Amino acid sequence: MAGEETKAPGGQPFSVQVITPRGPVAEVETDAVTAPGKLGEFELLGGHLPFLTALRPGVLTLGESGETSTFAVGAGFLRVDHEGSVEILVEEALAGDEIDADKARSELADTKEELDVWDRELDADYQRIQYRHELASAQVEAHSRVTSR
Amino acid sequence: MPSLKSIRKRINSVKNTQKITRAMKLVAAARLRRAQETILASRPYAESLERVIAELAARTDREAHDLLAERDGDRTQLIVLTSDRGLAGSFNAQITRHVAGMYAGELEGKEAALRVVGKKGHEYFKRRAVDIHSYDAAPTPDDALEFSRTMSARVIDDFGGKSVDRVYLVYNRFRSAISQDVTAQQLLPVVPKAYEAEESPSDFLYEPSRADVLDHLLPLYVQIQIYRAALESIASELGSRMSAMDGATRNAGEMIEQLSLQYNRARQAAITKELLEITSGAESLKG
Repeated sequence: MAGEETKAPGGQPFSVQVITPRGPVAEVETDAVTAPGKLGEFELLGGHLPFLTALRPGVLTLGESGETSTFAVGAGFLRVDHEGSVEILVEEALAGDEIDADKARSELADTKEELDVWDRELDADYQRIQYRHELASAQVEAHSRVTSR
Repeated sequence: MPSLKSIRKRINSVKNTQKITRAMKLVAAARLRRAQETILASRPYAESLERVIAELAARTDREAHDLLAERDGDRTQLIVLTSDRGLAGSFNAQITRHVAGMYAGELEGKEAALRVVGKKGHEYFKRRAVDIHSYDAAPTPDDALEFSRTMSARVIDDFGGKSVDRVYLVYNRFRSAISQDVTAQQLLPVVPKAYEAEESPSDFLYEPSRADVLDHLLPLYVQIQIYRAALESIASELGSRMSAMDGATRNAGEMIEQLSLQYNRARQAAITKELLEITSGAESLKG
């Protein structure tokens, strides 16, 4: 069963679940997922091999043609199991059309300012501000992708 | 014997107190429901992360990961979760008592520091000879996630910087509105759950590598542990306050009953006294 699935051609719909600490935010059947991998953004199609990858803060898009939904997400992972269903676990996920772009932009500017004056010590506060900066940048990007559609 | 007026005043004041305790109980009950929903919502995330970490940790060398490797030293840090507000029964006392017990027991003679959360805990510990590393206000269900982010970044920083060898979370685990258990849980080094091999993960592709994915996810694991502990602590506080206020409302009811009895008795005595005065006055007039 699993063998058949993994050999199936791309473009075939598969189930995706997006889970955050606040609860599941999406559970859909889709034909493609674009996710912010630690090594760069990648697209995942149906019939992928079992796969586990680290996600960094960025923009997550579910679906390619037709209905798509976009999220700004925090760090987490994406896992394709033997049945080909995808689990995306992220520390934060904000739906693209619900993002307060002005707030995100001012957060982006604030954190940038803070990071610039930092004395480059890689301590917890620095990393946290950096993380907030990345998250804000993901929100701005997700928002612009939603509005430009 | 107290005067009628003073008894009446006391009855009214107890009635007012009872109104307050009843309102506090209802508020706590409503908030508790919301807090429990937040705990339930966090479960799929926590369980899935636990499973993946267990799976990864079972197939890697634990010593190669900073956050997993056991240390020889015994410098300890405790994250102690208490509340900002009182009137919650023994909620805060059982935490501070447990921590004091740890200091007298397993932490005796060892280097230990506290990260205190909640005003009540801070008030208790700042007057004692313990090293308080940080103090934060108690989180609410809405900012618990942000709180857990900050806190996990700090302890991972301390642990990674080798200034501490072990980190524990001490909090009230919510069992029900009438029972909360004090729990001291090891946070760092991370103790992965036992892994049940349901499928062979050897054919998984890992990107970057299995070790890198694990290193990426361990901080998230630490964070979710803190998040869940914070939520458990919030639910416990509300549960504890609910039962405490329920008890207080009942006690106020009993007190009102007793005071009313006293009031009626005093009133009866006054009437009897008045009647006696009238009749004895009438008797003397008959002369």
